[in-house]
Amino acid sequence: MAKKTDLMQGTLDLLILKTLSLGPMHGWGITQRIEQVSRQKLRINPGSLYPSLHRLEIKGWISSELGASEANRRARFYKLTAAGRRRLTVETNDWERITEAVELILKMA
Amino acid sequence: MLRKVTTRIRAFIHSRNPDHEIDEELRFHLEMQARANMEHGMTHPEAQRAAVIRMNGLEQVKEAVRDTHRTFFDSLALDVRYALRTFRRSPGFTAVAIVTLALGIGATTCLYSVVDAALFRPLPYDHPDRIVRLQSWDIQTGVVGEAVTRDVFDAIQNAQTIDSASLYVPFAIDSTVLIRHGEAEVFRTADISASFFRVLGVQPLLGRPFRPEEEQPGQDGVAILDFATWQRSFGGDTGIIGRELPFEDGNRTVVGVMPAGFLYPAMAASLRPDILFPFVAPLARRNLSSFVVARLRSGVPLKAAQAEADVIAARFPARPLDGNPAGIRVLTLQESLAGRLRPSLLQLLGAVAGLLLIACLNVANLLLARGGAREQEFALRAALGASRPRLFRQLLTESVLLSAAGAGPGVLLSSWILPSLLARLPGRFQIVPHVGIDSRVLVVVLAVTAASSLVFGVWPALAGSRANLTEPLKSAGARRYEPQRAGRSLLLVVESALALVLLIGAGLMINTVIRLERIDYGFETHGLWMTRVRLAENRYPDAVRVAQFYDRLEEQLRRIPGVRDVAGADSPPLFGGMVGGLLGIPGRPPLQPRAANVRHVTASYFSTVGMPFVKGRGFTDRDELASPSVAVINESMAKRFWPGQDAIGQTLLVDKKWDVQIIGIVRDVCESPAQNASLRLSVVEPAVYVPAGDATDRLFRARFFLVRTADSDRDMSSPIARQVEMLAPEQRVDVSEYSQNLGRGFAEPRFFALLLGIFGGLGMTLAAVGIGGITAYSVTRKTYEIGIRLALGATPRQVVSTLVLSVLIPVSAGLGLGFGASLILCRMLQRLLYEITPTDPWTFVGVTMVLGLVALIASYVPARRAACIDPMIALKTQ
Repeated sequence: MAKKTDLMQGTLDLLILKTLSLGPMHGWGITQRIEQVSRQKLRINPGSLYPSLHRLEIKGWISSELGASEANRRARFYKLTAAGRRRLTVETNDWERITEAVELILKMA
Repeated sequence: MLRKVTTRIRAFIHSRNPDHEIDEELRFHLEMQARANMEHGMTHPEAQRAAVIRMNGLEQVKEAVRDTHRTFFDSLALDVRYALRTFRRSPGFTAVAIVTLALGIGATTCLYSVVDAALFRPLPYDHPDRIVRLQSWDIQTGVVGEAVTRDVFDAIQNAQTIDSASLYVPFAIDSTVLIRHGEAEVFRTADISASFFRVLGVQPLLGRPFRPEEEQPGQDGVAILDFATWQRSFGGDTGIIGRELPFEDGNRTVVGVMPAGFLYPAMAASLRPDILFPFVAPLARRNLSSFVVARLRSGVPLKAAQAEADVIAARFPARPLDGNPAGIRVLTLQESLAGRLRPSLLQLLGAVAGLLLIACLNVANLLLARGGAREQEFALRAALGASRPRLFRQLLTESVLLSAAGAGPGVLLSSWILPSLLARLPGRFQIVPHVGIDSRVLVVVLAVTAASSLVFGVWPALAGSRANLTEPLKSAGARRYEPQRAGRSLLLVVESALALVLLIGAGLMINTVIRLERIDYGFETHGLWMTRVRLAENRYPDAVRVAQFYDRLEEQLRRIPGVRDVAGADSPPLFGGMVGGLLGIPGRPPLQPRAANVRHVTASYFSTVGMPFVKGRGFTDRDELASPSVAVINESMAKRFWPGQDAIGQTLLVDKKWDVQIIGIVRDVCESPAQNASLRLSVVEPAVYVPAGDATDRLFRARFFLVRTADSDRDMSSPIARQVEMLAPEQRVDVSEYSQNLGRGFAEPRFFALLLGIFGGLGMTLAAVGIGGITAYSVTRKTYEIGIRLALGATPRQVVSTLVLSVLIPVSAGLGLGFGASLILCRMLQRLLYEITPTDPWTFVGVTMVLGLVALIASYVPARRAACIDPMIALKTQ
């Protein structure tokens, strides 16, 4: 069980960082954006999202502050930091490398 | 690395995030989700519920988020607080666990302090591993001696592998007398070489060491004081250096004072020397123990020194009696001091480890049992999102806290007990001043505590965290099955086995000690007191004064109420006796040096000691002060030299001076005490008793006084001491009772008996408590089941016996295991046992039965409660 979560967690972190690279957002917004862009193929579990967000914040890759949402309710907005931006590049490269490798193996006859 | 630190700091800062902010954030998400749902057509309540379901557990998510903020210490603090709450809820369990652990850890601390000081801790000298002792060694007989001649010593000093060597010659019995303020004071002295300080790598506290030239006769008028002496007799006066003191054999200048608490390299703590003199050649007296200590040259291994020592020994013709050793043995100083006791101490350490293990097993059992009761609690926590590792950590924290809570009182307890334990240490043991619960010991205690908590905590933690989510929450009692049944039975098996091993060991040792105390020496050792006086030349310049003093003292001692008889002797029975080649029989070939023991005694010696006459008579006072011409011999002597004849009337040459006639024959008594417990009997040898005679010979400036009391239990030490002090205030008075003196010779078996007895007793108690606890717990857990059985017709007796049996079966298996283990392990005690085999059937069977009985009672008492269960109530109890 633990292993599965880890993999998911790593991927989720990447998705969050990418999503935030387009601009600051709150948790709900992130789930909506990801679901939209992936054409509903990815549904984000809030139970995974929020711990990830907080973890990324502790690691210093995103920062947060309270702000007003569309509904005029107070919400916590997250945004990418400079370190986060660098991290995004690194992780994106890693992801591409891994998927390439996996594909090569899967294409093995 | 830096990243980790910054992460940690950030985590710390963020942990300040108050809970309600996280709550708010999640609620916002829920609201937005609900809105989205409504946009998709759900009604308000439906939308909200769907949102909540989608969240998949609001509390769990909150917990997960909180967890990301938590530092290790936060979680730890939480765990600790939780654990404390748990303990408060079950004070009985907590108390039992803590006491159990305190006993186990306390016993371990105590014993380890002793073992550490004896075997592991380096001696308080400079580079103590470089200091060795050289002993004379008879290769054939294996006898180790402490005497060397000057030549041998010089050879050692000049050896290649030796940096410096020193003699250390303590005059334990012969003390020198200091005349001060007109009064004589008696001190114990020891002679040392000038190199003594260099060998040990120490410096005097004040003043300087001896110089090599001061080892020459005529130039040795110097002395160094021991710290205690300096404080006690000279008031700690720093002006003592350079002061001249008038000793019996001449004036000496004080040139130094030893540091406080200095450990002399070869004597038991009770015999520390008061004053040190430089050693002056030649090595005069034969029966002197001269210890040789040396420092190896740096880089030289022990083996090289031993090889060189062998060469030296070969150079000198072997004359062990004169001090030329047949061989020389080199060993480290530490080894020479404690080496003999190493096996015993290690065995005792093993025994205490067994006790500690019993304690841990007990606590483990308790925890497992309690784990069953807490299943609901843990199931709930798991449902709320606690992961298995988290639960495991929680339970382990509880174990560690219990351990720590037990360690505190345990260490305190052991610091109380340690002094009385030390008082009973076998006397050859030198480390007494240095035993204490210091940082070295505490470190070990810490490690032991941590290890214990793992030993008893891991399994219950594993069991408890494996929370079965559905069962406990369903049956709102979950009392229908006993978790970990097999495991707990196994614990009982091991516990019982260990307790039995300890108890059997104790039984064997106690048996031994009883037998040792019952040894027949040929005379009654109870109620015989002994003290020694030594008269200085200045106060008692001639024979007449000396004789007067002895007579007066004897008279005074007789006057003490309760005294039946008094006698004087140059050496008391069992100890000493002049073994000199100074005996001859006219008309017979020269005798061996050890042919007979010669004792110079007063007329009342035989009646005081209790030696009946087989033939003839003893001497009268008239025979004494005149040049003695009579003697009394013992049966062995008569049988040896005049078998089948009448020895009365025969003559002997004693001390080459006297021509004495035998006038009486007495019953044999033992001449020397059992050297160690495995020797069957103490030795009976031929002996000659000569009247104490004239006191001009220096030898007789010292005399032992023996006092036989009518009531053998009365403590005569003060009255006797008082009489001596009144007549001779300068004397260092030391009064002892015979049977107690002998007891000191059995210090080692007694020590073992004491400790094993305590460990065994504690082990048995702990096991009994464990058994009782388990049974009581079973009764509680099985109330429902018992109710059913009673309702279905079982008699209370059947119920009780089932319960008792279920506990006794593992216990019996344990006893069997312990029995077998004891057969193997108790062989280690072989050398301490006296007249009893290590597999003595009576002891084995007897002890096993006792432990079995205790277990039976321990399980029966709580089980009886089961009989009182009202089936109706039991069935209703869920």
